[in-house]
Amino acid sequence: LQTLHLGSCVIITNLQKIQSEFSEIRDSVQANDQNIDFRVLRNAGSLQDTEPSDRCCLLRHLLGLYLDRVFRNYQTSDHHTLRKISSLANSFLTIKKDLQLCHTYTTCHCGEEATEKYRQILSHFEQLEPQAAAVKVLGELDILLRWMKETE
Amino acid sequence: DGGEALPAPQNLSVHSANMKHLLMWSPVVLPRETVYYSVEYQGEYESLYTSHIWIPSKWCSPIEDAECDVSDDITATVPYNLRVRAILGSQTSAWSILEQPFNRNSTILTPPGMEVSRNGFHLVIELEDLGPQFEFLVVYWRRELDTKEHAKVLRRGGIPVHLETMEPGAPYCVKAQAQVKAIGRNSAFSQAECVEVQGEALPL
Amino acid sequence: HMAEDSPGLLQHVKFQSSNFENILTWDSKPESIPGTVYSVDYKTYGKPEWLAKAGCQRITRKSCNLTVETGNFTEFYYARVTAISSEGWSATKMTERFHPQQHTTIKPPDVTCVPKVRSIQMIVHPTLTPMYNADGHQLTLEEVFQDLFYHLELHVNHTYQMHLEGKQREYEFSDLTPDTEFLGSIVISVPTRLKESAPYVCRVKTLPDRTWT
Repeated sequence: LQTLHLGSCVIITNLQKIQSEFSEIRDSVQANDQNIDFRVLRNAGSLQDTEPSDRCCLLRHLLGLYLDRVFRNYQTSDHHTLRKISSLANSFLTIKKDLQLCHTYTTCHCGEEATEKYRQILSHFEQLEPQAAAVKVLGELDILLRWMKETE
Repeated sequence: DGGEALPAPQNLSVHSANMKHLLMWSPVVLPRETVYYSVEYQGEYESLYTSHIWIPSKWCSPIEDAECDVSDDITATVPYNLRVRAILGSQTSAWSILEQPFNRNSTILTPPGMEVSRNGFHLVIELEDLGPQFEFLVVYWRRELDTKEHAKVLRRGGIPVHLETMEPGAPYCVKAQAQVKAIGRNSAFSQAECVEVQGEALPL
Repeated sequence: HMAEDSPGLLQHVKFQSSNFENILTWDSKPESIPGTVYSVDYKTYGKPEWLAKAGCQRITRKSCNLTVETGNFTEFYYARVTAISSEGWSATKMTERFHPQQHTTIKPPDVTCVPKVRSIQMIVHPTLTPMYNADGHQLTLEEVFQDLFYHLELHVNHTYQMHLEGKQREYEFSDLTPDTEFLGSIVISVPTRLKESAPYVCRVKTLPDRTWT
């Protein structure tokens, strides 16, 4: 298990399990991403380079993006991929609920940095058609996992 | 085929122990017919965000037995809905849905099977292999006046592992507990088992 | 004469990476097509430009060392090969997205096993990678993977094992029987990357006990 330090919000999660689930579909998902000149989760917006006090808010928004607009919009008829996406989505939901607790206890403050970084990520995301954006950002899940890992 | 609808399976329940989750139901019995079943699941994410989506179980779509090991389907610690229907040729029954969603954190954790032995002056333990989600907290002590407990975490079972080098004159006792980090729970400790080294002290 | 695509000309374009030595390899079918030359390009995911790899333009061998070009282990890369046969056939194929930290395999550690009378000492030597940080310091695997640790096993006459693990480099299995053979097995483990090296194995015998002779 890994302990993520997001300012005064500290959560424990199993990134290894998530990494393992994603690695089973990574190559096929990334192969569906036709536009390799463009990246949504860019180093400039990374979690670990964000003020600790703003990390929880940024991560909460990012998980929301995955839950609302990535896992939901990724279309596949392959049952294995469907199961892996379900596993990832339910694991992300668990983390989001933990972050929600922090939010309830006002330790998930949305400062200017988090708001601006998420705005940029969203603008990159929305430059793409929804289905293509879902494919690309699902393929970038290992970027998000690395960001989360580096807040350990 | 009398045109009657194929009855749906009844009495769904989940029996879960040591992170092995078994969905069971009453079989649909039709004379001289083999009825199959199909199991599907949805996690909390699906029920909240895409409630129309149900995912075919990895091992039971279809299956002939009136039970299904859903351990590989239940991969997050959230409530899961489960449903089953009967299949006979081209006919399918209505879905029966598990009354209460199942969460793996309700699994029953039993004290691990354990074998304590000695090899020369070495105290050796072999724990039951319960799968990759399990670790074991092993506590051992030399049974004498000022008993001081020692603890070690073993990452897997199924292989005999050296715990301590013993000295003669008093028995060494061991007990173990299974730990599942994924759900943040432990089993009770096993019964303590003790062994003793006879004869002189360890040659220097 | 426009070159047409010929699938057999170029196959299995992929990175083979171990300890961050990133080699691009490919095949052709049949094994060799005389006169065929290959050219390699590479790019960083998210950036538009493909860059030609100097030293791997119009080559006849079927591998190209891209360690330096893919040296930022936090980035994601692609490479592609263009093959042109002497008859003018051509084929271009690209790798999957390559992430050094993700894809590199870990080689067995370099270990010295030192037998004593009642113990065996094991010294793990650091593994250097071909990567350097901003100050020009060559990085070891330990510096690249923060959660890297060593797992050591000593197999005792096929019946049980002794285990040690940790981040330090020196370990000692003690309370052993003199003049007895043991099998040591040492792996490098990086749990967050789900990586484990193949084991370094040493067969070693404790020294005879001459204290009473």
